[in-house]
Amino acid sequence: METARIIQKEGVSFNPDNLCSVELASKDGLSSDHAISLGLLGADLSYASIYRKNSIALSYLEAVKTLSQELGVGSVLNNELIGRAESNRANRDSVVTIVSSAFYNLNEKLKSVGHEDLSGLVVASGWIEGLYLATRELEGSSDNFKKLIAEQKMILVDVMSLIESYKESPVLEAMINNLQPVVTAFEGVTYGESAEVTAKKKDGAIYIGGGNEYFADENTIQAITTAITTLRNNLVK
Amino acid sequence: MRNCVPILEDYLQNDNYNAAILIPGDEAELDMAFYGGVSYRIVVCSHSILGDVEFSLNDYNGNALWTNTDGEKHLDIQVATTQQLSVKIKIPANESSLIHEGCVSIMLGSKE
Repeated sequence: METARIIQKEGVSFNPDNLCSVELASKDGLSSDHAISLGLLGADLSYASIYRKNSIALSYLEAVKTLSQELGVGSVLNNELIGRAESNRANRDSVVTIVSSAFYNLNEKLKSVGHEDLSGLVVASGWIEGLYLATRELEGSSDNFKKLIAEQKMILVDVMSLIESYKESPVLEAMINNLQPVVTAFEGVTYGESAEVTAKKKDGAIYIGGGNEYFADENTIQAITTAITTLRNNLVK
Repeated sequence: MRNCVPILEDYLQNDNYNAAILIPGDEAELDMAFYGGVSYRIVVCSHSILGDVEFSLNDYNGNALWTNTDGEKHLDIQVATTQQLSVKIKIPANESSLIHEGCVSIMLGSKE
């Protein structure tokens, strides 16, 4: 949701053709396939919500509900929640809040029933779809937007760390292998000289200065785009 | 952990669920990426049986940037540039022969 919000803030236009088909929710498959689809469609749901395309968002919410039922955690996306989203469809902030809260509860539920590996798949595939969507509108994009793509290297580190903690799981082993070309593409991302990280207190909050500035040249951006497109399209087959 | 959601107030809840069952004396650490220019609220939610949980925010080298010396349960931050920070939590040790375990979760909310 956060990545979608930053993409929108950069002035990238919404294109529904870039989203997965909601039919993905109806495909037969193993729990791991459903978890991957849940991550992909969940990212699309976040994207549509942030862009105030609430009618589209509601159709993705139904698809996510179907998948959560397949995974045995359908109680999270119950009729009451769907009803709240529908009655608030004109209010972006309400829909966004409902969707964010729903996914937090979905992840909590998956872990509570011993499906940490499936939760990891949801997170990984959600990140994949988010990066895929970000790379659809790169032509003419600002340097700041390309920096956003480069900064995804940090998020990828967190995603890999999460799924590698469950690498005994065969389904996560497959995802780890599938992500290797993306990891390789991100190796082209560089960071400038690091400024010392500082913390200052102001108005009850801490302001953190310093840190690294991430950068990716055109070749690296292209490599990342190609790698993530290939991976994502294989996941939706 | 749902009773801690209101602490986020108008910060949009991040959808990642990060929680663990811990006992007195345990320490845990979670790395998180923070986008530049975005306001965040970090909430450490713990079962009361664990006592006053200490938590700190650290840079990518492990240097402490802030610690909840006044027993705060949440921290508001903004970062100038997108970067990885870590939240460390420490459960106070006790002398009791009974070992109580409790759930601790780290919740993250954001707003523009």
